Amino acid sequence: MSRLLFVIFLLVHAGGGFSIRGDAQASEDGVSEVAKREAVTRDSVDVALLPPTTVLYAELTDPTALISLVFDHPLKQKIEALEPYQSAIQSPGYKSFLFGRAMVETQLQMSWREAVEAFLANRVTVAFDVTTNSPVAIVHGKDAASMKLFSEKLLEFAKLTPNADQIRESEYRGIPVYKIQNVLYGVSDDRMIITNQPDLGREVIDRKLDQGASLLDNPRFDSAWQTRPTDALAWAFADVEVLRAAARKPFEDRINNPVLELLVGGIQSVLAKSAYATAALKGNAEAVSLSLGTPFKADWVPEYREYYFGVDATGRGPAVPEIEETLFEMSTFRDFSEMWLRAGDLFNADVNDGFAQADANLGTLFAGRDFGEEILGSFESEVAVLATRQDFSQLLPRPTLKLPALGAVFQLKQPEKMTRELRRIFQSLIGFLNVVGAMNGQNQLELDMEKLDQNAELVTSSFVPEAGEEESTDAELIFNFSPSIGFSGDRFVIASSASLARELVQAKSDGPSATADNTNGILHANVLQEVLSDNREQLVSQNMLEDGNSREEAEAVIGLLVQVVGYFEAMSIRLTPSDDLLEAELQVRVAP
Amino acid sequence: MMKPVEQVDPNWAWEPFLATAETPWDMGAAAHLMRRAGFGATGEELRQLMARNPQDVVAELVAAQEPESFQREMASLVRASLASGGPQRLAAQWIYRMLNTPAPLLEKMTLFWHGHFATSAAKVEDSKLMQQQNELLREYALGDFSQLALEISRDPAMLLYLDSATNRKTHPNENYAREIMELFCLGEGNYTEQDIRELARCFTGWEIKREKFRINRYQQDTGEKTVLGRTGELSGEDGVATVVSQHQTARFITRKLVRFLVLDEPRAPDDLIEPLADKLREDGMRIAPTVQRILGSNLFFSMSVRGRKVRSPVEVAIGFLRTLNGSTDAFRLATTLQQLGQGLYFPPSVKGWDGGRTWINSSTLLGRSNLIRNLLGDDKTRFGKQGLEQHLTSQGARSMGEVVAYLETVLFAVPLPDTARQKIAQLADSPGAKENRLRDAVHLLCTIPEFQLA
Repeated sequence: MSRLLFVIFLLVHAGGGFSIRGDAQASEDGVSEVAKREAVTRDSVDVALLPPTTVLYAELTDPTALISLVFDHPLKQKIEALEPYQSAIQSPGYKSFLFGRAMVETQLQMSWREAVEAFLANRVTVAFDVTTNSPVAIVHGKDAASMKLFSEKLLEFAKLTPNADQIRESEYRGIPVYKIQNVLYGVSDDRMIITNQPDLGREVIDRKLDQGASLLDNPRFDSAWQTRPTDALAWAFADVEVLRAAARKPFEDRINNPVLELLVGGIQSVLAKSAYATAALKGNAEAVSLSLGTPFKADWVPEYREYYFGVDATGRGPAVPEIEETLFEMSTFRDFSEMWLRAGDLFNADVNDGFAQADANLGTLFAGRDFGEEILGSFESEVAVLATRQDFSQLLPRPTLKLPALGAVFQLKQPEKMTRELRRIFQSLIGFLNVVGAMNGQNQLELDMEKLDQNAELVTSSFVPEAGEEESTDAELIFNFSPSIGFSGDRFVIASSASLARELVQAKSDGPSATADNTNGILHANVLQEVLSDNREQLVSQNMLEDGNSREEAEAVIGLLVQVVGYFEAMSIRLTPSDDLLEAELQVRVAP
Repeated sequence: MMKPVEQVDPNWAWEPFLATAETPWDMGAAAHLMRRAGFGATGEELRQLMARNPQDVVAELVAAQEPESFQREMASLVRASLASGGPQRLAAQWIYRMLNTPAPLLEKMTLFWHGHFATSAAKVEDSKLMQQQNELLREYALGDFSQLALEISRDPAMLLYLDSATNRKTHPNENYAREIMELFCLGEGNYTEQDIRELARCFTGWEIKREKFRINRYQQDTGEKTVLGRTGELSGEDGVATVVSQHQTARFITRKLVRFLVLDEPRAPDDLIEPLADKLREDGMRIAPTVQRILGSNLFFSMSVRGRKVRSPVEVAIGFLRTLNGSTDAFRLATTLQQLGQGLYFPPSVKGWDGGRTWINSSTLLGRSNLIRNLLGDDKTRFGKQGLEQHLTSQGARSMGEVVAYLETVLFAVPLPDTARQKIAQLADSPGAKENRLRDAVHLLCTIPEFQLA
């Protein structure tokens, strides 16, 4: 309300020399600054109780909003309508829980939700202090009376337990302190302070009564605190600089796992230099997101990891072609060729032995070409990867287990030269697979070529079924695959199925060619639901064997899984470097 | 007074069982039958059996077939297992089948033939072929042995396992010829090396190509051969028929059946086996009548043979679960059984599992104890779709004393020692939830040596 009045005041009293737009802008800025200062002061009161040597900090910024998000969410009604939920609430265990809850409500003379909202009303702060090597929690409740009531009831419940004789009561600076087993707690006004370390507890109380240097005086925390989003439900901070120094082993920049290196290698280098890291949880009825952030400078990334973010960290993932029934899509920037060639700098001797062996084998497989230099080096660093649902309704043989098709889109550096090269290499590869397959009694692949238009072509292969199995509806896993490649100008496509390769080659490239992120991935829940439904029989069988369920029970479990997946729209992840911040965000969107 | 098996009158032994005061048709007898002819039964099932004539019960066990709906369900599990993994997954579906089959004798006999015509996925490396063989064994488990021997001789998994996928007239492969005589039909000392060579000539031209059996007529040795005294232009089929038609084959198979169904040791005397072998031949080598004769006999129900078999790991695990109406994670159980030496689809050699006392040593005893502990501790293990306490209560076992009495009847082939009873009684007074105390009690009971006997 005060904020609204302040806005009105500014609007009414604004000078006439400003344009309307200018007035509004100035007012908004004014509100924003004042409100921000107020918010910072209000928000920092609990931080001010923590020692400057706090290395891990987490807060539930707005517990009431979080409780409301969980308990008032439309999804809750859907879940409550599910048959397993209805069965669960009839169980003796749940009834015991309800009985216990009713007892608590009677004792507190308020509903459990009112109790939780009052107890957690303003904030919950959890921290870890490196000096005392201990955690502390500060629960900032509704008011002093509520917290006193909770403290008394907590003590009463503790006295009902078999360890009642171990409860100890003392006092520190007029504040009663209780020790239940190894946990100490005391209430000062509207805050409950909980810890397992008396010194840390005393420090917090001293700071509340006398003030003094606090976590707010830690410059790294202060910098992080400035970036804290005002609409976060929860926020956390880690003092990476202190943690790095306190670690028993020196920070190891090498990961020594090629897959992990590709996924997080660049982040590893940033964390080796960064002073702190933060996490923020946001949410509303439509989505929940977790953002992780850390300061970032492009020159923190060593040259041997340039493959990850690109020169000056400017590498961005490409736009992903729009394909129907996409289950998963990922756009990323990675210079695979550079990574392959820099393996000596990135990995230890064991991993490099593996690389050397793989290099030799792949050289043979790729018709004598140098895999790192000539094959990977023929692609630009922007890569799009997709997985799409395969529709087998019109296809035979039809595999029992129906896997999504997987495809990747690259950009060729020299399309006029590499198109012929890659086509020939692919044909050789299929021939090689046929020779190996024949030795092992496996089905053979049949090659085909298709000219789609002047600039676009496909080279496909498909498994030839055994005689008599052409119309099988429970065919082997291999019938999910028809490995294919395609070319369209400088676009090179490789896919596990011919139909996906065709779609990727023919996909139009509307809109911007690059995203704003280094890496961006989305999993579409509606397609996941279809994929699960396609494999329902498999999943039911798996559940019967794994959980010992009857068919009816297993069908109910899998039905529930498929249904619950349908409550969501998508899950996404992105990694975005900017001038001074490296941010990763994980988001889950709920279906409308 | 129990007579040693060596002194039992063969005529009396295989006569249909008549209940007497000394050997009544009671819960113990019914439990004995269900342990040997299947994997055990719950108290409720045993009470229902007791109300009927034992010969009718045996006849029904022998005639039991899987209903079509069950077969469809199992076919679906097989498809899923084949589509998504190797033989370990197949083992899981077989465990599920053993746990849930309404025809337990059929499954027990399939397990018997799996050990007899032992073929390991470790060498065959083809789940589909292993499952085809498993289905073949099930199809003929209680059927015509002559036909089973012929089919197994053309079974791709078997021939791959015995390195007999090719057999040319210029170089007859003697592997299968040797095994069919030594291990599958006659036993050592009942054939000559010349018989092996001649039988191998009969099998020339038999090949496995692209996972299928075929006869390459250009590689067949069509000349005259003499196998076990029979001379002629014998084909592979003639060779198998010649071996199976030997009277020794009936003796060999009958002895193995008696060892599997009645007692591990002492070795049954020849004159005890002979009448059964004669009948097997009279029945045209059909297995079912012989199995029925054994399971319904005086000897089978006599106290002389109760507890005279050592449970195999499969019998321990499946028996424990079926007796307590249990269900569990079949994948995990398949792995545990392999560790205990009875990996399904993975017999150790072409001789199969030796069985008997070889199942037991200090290491396997500990492993068996851990198996039961893990089953009891696994949150996926349920008893009648509920907790152990609820299940035992539903069977009328409420107090610890009633629980011990119930478990002694359904799980044990021999009386419990007093020391075990005392230990269980102490558990009754220990603190903690009743469910946990019951699990501890069951585990304790299943660690004593008597539990290893069937």
